Amino acid sequence: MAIPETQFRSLIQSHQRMVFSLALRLLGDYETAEEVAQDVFLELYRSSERLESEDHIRFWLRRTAKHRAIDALRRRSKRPESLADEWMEQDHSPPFDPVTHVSTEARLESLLRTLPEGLRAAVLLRYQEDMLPEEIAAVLGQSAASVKSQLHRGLTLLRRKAAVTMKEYFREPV
Amino acid sequence: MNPYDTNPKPAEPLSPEFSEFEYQLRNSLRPVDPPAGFADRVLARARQSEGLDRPPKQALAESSRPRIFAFPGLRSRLWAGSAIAAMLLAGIVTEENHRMEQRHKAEEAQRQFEAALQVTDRTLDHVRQQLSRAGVPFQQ
Repeated sequence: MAIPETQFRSLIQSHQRMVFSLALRLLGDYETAEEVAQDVFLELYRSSERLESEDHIRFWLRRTAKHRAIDALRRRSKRPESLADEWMEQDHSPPFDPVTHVSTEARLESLLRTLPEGLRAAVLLRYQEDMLPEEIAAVLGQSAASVKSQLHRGLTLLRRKAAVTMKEYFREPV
Repeated sequence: MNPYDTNPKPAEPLSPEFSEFEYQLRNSLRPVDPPAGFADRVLARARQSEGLDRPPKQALAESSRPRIFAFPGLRSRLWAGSAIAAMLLAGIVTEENHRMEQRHKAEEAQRQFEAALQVTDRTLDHVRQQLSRAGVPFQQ
């Protein structure tokens, strides 16, 4: 192995929650998220000699996880049969009463998946990873101003959707 | 705030306008654990990518195999190249056969023509002799 197995295992254990959560929330399904997260760590394994510090590794993992998840999203959108499969797998029965069956957190999380991928990545890095707009800008390769604008648009859109679908919790500001 | 800290401090809100909603959102997006055994599966794939999981004989056989067959793209291009070369060769052979057949036909036609000329010559000689025997003047 390029780095000792114990060291690599320790790196995986330190960062697996972050990488898996980013992939899961960008992609929306566990199976593909695990596949993408595994690929990211294998890439880390191959690139480990070039990574200099713990901060560098964290930055690299966030950026690579975002890129690989977006790649997977695009591959999936190019396969019409996968959309058909997803539609078949979805529950098309009449919805349950959401107040009693789904938590506010889960519903907000699923609303996040309805955002365009650029806004979704910015919102996710801000609220899952608690990163500053300047740090998000470095990961996404954009300017801080552009990230701030994306965050504002993302939050506005999310809150508007929440005001429509979760009236009991959120009201749109007047 | 580092969400992976055991005792995290709340992050600055983006703006007062969103503060309550941001709080809810941050709660919704707490990091989640990957399925159990994730690290083991990654390590297994890393070992496999290095060939450590394979028995030595198989690893040796693969390493002694020509490197060209390790690249599927190159292999298919090689097959396509061979197929084109085979088609060209088949075309050349067919063309050569056709040319030889034409040559044989031309030689046969030439032989038949020469034979016909000989017959005609002999017939004319015979007619000429008969005419001269009969005393009929004959001019060439």
